[in-house]
Amino acid sequence: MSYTVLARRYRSGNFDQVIGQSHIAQTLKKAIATGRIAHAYLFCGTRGTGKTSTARILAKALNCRADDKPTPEPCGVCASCQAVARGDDIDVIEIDAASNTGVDNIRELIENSRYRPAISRFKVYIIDEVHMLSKSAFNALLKTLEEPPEHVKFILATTEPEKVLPTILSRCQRYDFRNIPTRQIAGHLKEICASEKIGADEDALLLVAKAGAGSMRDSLSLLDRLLSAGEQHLTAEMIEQLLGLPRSQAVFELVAAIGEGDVGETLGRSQKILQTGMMPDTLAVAVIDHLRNLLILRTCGKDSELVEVPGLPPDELARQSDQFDPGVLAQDITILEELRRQMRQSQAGRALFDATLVRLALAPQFTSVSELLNNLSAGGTPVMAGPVRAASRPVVAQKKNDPPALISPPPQPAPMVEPTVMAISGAEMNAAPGSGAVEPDEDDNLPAVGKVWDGPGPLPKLELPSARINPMAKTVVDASDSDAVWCAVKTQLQDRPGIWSLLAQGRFAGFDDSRAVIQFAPSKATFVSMLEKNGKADQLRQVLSDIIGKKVGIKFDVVDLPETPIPVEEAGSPTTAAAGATVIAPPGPRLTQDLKDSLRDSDALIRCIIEDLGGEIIKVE
Amino acid sequence: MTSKPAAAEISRWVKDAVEQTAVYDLHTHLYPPNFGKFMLWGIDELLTYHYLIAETIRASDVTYDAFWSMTQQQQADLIWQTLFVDHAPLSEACRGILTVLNKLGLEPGPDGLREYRNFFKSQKPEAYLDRVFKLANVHTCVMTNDALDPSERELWLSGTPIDPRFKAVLRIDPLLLGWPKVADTMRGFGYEVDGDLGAGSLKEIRRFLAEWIDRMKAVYVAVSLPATWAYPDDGPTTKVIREAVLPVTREKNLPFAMMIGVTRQVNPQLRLAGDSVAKADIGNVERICRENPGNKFMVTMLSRENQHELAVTARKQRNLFLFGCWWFLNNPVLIEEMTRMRMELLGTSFVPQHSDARILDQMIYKWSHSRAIIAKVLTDKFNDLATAGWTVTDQQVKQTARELLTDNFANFLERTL
Repeated sequence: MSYTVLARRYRSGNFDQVIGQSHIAQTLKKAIATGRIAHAYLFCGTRGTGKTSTARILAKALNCRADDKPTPEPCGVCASCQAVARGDDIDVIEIDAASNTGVDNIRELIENSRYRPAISRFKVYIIDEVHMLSKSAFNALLKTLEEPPEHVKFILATTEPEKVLPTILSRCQRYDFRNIPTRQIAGHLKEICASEKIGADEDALLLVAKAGAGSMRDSLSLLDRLLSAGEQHLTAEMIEQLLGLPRSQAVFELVAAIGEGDVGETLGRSQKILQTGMMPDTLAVAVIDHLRNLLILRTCGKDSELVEVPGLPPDELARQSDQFDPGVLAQDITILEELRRQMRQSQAGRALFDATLVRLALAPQFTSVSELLNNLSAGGTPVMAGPVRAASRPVVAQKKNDPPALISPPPQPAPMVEPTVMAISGAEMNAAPGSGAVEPDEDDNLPAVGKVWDGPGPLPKLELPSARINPMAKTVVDASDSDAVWCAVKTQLQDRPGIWSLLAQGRFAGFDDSRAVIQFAPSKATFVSMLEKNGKADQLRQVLSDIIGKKVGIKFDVVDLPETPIPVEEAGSPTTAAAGATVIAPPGPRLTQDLKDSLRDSDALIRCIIEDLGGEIIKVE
Repeated sequence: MTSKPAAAEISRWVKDAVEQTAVYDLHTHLYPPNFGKFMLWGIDELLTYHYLIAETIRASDVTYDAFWSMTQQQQADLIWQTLFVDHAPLSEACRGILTVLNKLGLEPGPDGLREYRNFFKSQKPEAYLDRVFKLANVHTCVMTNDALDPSERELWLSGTPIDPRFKAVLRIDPLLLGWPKVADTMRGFGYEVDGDLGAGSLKEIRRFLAEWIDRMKAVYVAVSLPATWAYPDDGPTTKVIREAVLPVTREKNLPFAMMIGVTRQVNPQLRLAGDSVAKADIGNVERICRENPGNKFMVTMLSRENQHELAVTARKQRNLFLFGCWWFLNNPVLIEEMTRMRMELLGTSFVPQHSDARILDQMIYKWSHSRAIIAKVLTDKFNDLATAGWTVTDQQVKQTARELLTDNFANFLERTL
């Protein structure tokens, strides 16, 4: 006999059985009871939250034959209710818009909707993944959706309502399905285990529910997988093993090492976990989850229901949360999430992972970009670092050879998700005094360097001090500041990457009279002819004119340029670093090319400093 | 008596059947997420696919060196600018990108590249993989696996689990075309072979094939052969095929797939895009099939000029299985011509298409475009039957779609000669 998965066997059969969406179920019941039934509904929400189940229940309620009118309590036993439950009711048409995206499919639907239902009260169209319909298909649907025949009801379901045309949205009664709280999912899983005669620890079910991330279907699929292993009693340990999750205790210890700023211990503990065969991405997710729990404990108190940590004593967890500043936790989560994205695109995922752990462990040595830039705008020093991120993170565990914080301003609350900077100066900040930028602090013995730790935003936008670019004033930039002009050009061309890709092969050499001079090496002369075609030069001219606030021309020069970035001497010779910014990497691991690459790839601003300003990572301090 | 369906009804049946039948994609270069760097996806990979690189270098003034000096993202930017902004994106490869974007719910337009990048950045590979399989309506795809590639070899040896939607194929190009150089590589992996291909070496090659077929659970063994390939001859290729590949595949009842007709690196400056096509001698296919009636062969040829004789040869050799419109033939005009001709010569006993996708997302457009053409040809053919007085049924249409898109290949794998 074929096996029916749990998600189908235990699908909600009436409104009262819908889990986690009582606000919707009650509203729909009342609407049916009072006869205020709309002709089109839109159910929005992530997968597995009950959209299709509720749509089917609504269809049952509309057509249930136990009553002579729609009923909020469909019987579940009449032919209509059973046919809907099986998914083969002739008058309840379920359409997967993902595979019926075209206008022809919708025309066919409209054509068929004219005909009366075969046996039921209403013809109910359930259109799943409706956002996948093409624009023309949506448009074809508009008229029918606004004034459908009396016997037709539409229930549209989507996981991405923002992709549904506003004209469709305005014609539907919209219901937003929430992610189902983990504890409610766990409760349902418990009932299912009982009815399947399987024993299960609360912690185990909580783990399964968490893995479902708010989706009942995902959780049930997982439970199915676990049950298929033939176990008669589910424990948290077993589930961690089966799901390939790290032990909660191991993650706790890893985060403790991060909190203590102990780089060696941090890398050692992560290595130990990864040696069990776990992928770095899985571990990153586990650490994010743990940090999230600490954040909740820190901000909502230790009795918060939002914290779900199977397998760890709540008091121990609360003590650990006290060691972190909420701002630091929020930022660490952002950094780790960014890491996951970058690891997917990187061939040096492990190096990237290690570099990020080092970054988290050394967080006390970083300060925020916005603070730094504010300081610059106010005429302060560009070279600064201090325990801003980790106002309350203990620093006593720093290794002896770790560099001391360069400046120790009084601890301040950390910004929630600002990118952070370790130390910065160099060509990018090398403007004349009085122009708003500043000279490096002579008391500091660091080279002229720029290092940005984290940039959660997706775009490689180089933020400049407000004194150099004023975004409110249509980004008017001082024309004598070549670096600022060039960065502004890049920013302005974000939506025209094809032009920037050509420009990036050359370099901006300032203005000659009223012409911007852009130089290319002879081997790249081909890009000049390409820039001169299809109106690209005109677009560039316009962008440059907007940036400096007056009309300019463009001159492309082919000249002998070095083919490679000007090498920067070793750190410790700050004056020679002016040709390009220098990035100081954190102390700890040896600076291999892999690590250099991963540091560069880990942050848009580092990349910008290296690629656009000729910077180079030269040293781990 | 059953009433005869109208032409419009047949057309609808065919369209529905072809769209709703999930495909067994029998040749791709796709890999699951746990294969790490092997899994290629996203807009920058799509744009820097070698088809579009070749088109960009034709359509712009960029020199080869200048192009290759750019980063991948810069190349993608340039390709987008050249092919989608400066000119109408009319080529099949360009249209494919638009279809992918459209099917993903993104608005294709010249200013959209940034938005597309943001979209892809927000996708998780596992979930995205599911979405692509769903959008392309593919149930299983066949990878291309090279056991002599050190990093792929490591993956297999580590026992990495394989997503059941991905089947393996042992690709043996270096083994057939790389003598004597490949001997060094094989020795490095513990196989006692030497360049002269003596009895001992051939035994070791058979051991290599058998071990890796088993390890990968390969569904067939494959090679891409140049247009100049000759069978039989006195060279090492024939020797390895005759004395190692055919005995092992026969013993394991696996097909040996030959993709014939490439001319490698006619323009090395184009790198991966530098390969071309030439007409091959169909006699080679005829001879290898005739000489080895106990072996199963899958063949696709790259030159349009080879297609008719290949279909005729397939009529004569039951152990020869035709598949797909490969590489430069994967264009609507040629797919339609070939599918029509094959159907007229072979009925339903072939596989009209494979995606050959290297970038995951390509699977979406390759199947969307091919399905439309296959449906068009099938509609004509069923209407021809109706005109001839045959009563076409929905059931028959569905069965035909299943045969062409999934069952024929699965059945050929199972077939014992």
